[in-house]
Amino acid sequence: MKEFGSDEQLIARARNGDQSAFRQIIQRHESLVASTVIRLLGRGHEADDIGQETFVRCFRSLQQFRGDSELSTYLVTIARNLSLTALTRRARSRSRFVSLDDDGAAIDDHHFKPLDPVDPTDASERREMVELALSRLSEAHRAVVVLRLMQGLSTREAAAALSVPEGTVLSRLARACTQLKSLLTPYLHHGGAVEGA
Amino acid sequence: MTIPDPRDPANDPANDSTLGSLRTLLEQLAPPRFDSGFEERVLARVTEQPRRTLSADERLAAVGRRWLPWLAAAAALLAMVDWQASVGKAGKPTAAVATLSQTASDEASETAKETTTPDWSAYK
Repeated sequence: MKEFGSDEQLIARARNGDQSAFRQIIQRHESLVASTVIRLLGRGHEADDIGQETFVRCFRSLQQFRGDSELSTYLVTIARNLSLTALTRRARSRSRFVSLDDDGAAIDDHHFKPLDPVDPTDASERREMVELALSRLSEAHRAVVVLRLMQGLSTREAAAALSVPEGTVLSRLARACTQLKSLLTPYLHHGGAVEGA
Repeated sequence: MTIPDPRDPANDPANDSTLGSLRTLLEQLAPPRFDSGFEERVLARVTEQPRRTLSADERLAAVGRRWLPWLAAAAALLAMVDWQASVGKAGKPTAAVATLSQTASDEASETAKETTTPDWSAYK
């Protein structure tokens, strides 16, 4: 992949209608946007559509982008907001048919039996299992894990992003971590991840 | 279920030292990618809806479209208020009508006097 320069240079060129510069912006930040959107929503058409919408909105606001924050921060914020809106929409449409409690505790306990490892020391298998464990969390719990543990937001920031009280973020995070630990027990003792570190 | 105090760092599960390993596992995850052809799909969307500056006529038409329903509603409201006021006034006599009716009433009472108390002196 050819590098064209800094984000600022690419933005300046994209503003002047240089499509290849905007293509570079997409290539450079796709994985960042994808890790926000796909971790929150899971894979699928909706995630792809929101990934596209993130870049389209970025493109439309290039003229107003003043560079007060990094482009990556700007893109992640758009991606996160769009994803959380999609999650809210999903929850609303689901609540018309099923009544779940706030913490999504309706998932059976068998869902969180430890995953059976073939080779816990194998890094690719470990990654696959962590992905699987994340996918088994409810959307509400996964959102808290992604925002708080993976994107490094503070409890207050995560609460604001999710429009819930800080106490709810903490209780969801505690429950999500318990569920993840119970799923990933075999992997927590291997591959450089030492419990209690 | 009691809600933990978010201000107390001890209540923040992210500060739980036993979660260090979990965090490490999460950090090891490879960033996911969108399906192939993602750039092309974004660029197609960007180019299919190019930003266009509206001409003065189009801007005026847009403003008209935006405000016309409100103007129509306001005009209808004013007309209704005006009609209500005119209906309210119809119950009360205006000054001119009051004068006329007073005159008519005086004439009527005089006529009544004439009819009720005839002058019989001519017949005496």
